[in-house]
Amino acid sequence: MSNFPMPFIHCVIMTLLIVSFSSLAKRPEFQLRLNNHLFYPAEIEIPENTKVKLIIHNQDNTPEEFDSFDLNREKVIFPKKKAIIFIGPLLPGRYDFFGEFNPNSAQGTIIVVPNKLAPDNTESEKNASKSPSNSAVVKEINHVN
Amino acid sequence: MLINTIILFLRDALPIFVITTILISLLHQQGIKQPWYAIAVFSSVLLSLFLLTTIDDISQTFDDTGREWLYAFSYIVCYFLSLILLSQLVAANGKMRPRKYIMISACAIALMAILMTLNGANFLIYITGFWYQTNASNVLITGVILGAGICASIAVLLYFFMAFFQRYCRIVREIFLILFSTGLLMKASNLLIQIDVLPSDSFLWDANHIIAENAELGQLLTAFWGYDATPTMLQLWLYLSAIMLAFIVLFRANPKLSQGKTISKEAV
Repeated sequence: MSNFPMPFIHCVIMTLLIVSFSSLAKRPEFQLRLNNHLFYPAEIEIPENTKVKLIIHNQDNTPEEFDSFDLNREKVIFPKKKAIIFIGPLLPGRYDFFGEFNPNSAQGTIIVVPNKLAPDNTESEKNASKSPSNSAVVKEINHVN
Repeated sequence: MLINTIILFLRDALPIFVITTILISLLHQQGIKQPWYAIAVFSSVLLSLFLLTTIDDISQTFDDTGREWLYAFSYIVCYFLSLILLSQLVAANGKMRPRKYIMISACAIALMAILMTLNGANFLIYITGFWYQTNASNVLITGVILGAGICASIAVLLYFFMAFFQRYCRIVREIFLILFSTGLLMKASNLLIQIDVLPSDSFLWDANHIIAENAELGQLLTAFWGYDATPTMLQLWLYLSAIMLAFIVLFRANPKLSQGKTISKEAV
């Protein structure tokens, strides 16, 4: 293999420097909980055109894989551990996700809403850490039926 | 659970079957026989088991992004291993010296071992997680057998497809390896976007209505050359640059290729 020319190496270094700045920005955080192969809350609202940090806590004794073709994301969450995924910026709409190891039960939706309607992300954290949200309950009832 | 096991097995095992077929075909063309493959399989089984026991801890490193870093770095290494392998194979042009033989075998072993380790550990996470559930073991075994059958069938078809198209395109195997390894770079870019290391712009287009990524064809294309229905501008740029770099390496290693001459004296 021939040696790479210096301008090429400079370009690579510059690109890495530029892209690494993206990870320094503070992102809004949203929490999800996985319990008994169900996501709580089953629906999360996030603001449009904003990159957000999704923290998923797996409270089950089995691993799960967060998967979404709409969001182009895939991540294994180990039992009793948490996982972090960044999603967005997205246009308003509904983006489905599911647990790849339990696709029939572990399902949910990210709802991207216009900025004016976007909820405070602390609400989502409360919902995730306390009781299942209404939408999650509906999802569970639908699943049982 | 049976369907899910087959789908997950296909997702993790199909890329291994594809790269195995391409490498066996490429190396056989140059007169390199199979012992390298046994070494790759043996080492990757051991490494998969080791990764399975440590992946949980690795995942928690770097602010819960350790797994993405490991996989992305490994995929990038695989891309460059493919380039070295290609350049060595093409430059050898059928005249295999001991040094080149060792270099090519080492690259093939490393490439196979890394991919089998990463994908093997992925599937083992699922298998070991659900093995002790009631009646799960029988379903898991059945799913693995069915999945292996499908993968083997695709691998055989691919082998004969490449042999057939060798008549029309002398570098068909090399093209398949380039597309496959560029697909690995796409996977790496997806992982780095997922952990916010690379910027994620809006998707350039959504081709899910033409070929859905979760459909059978979409999964097949993803395994073959990292098909992505919703790429970003950065990913498209990366994909095209990686393909171009691979072809530059290929043609610089053996300029006769661009004149349509044969790579090897040995016909398959």
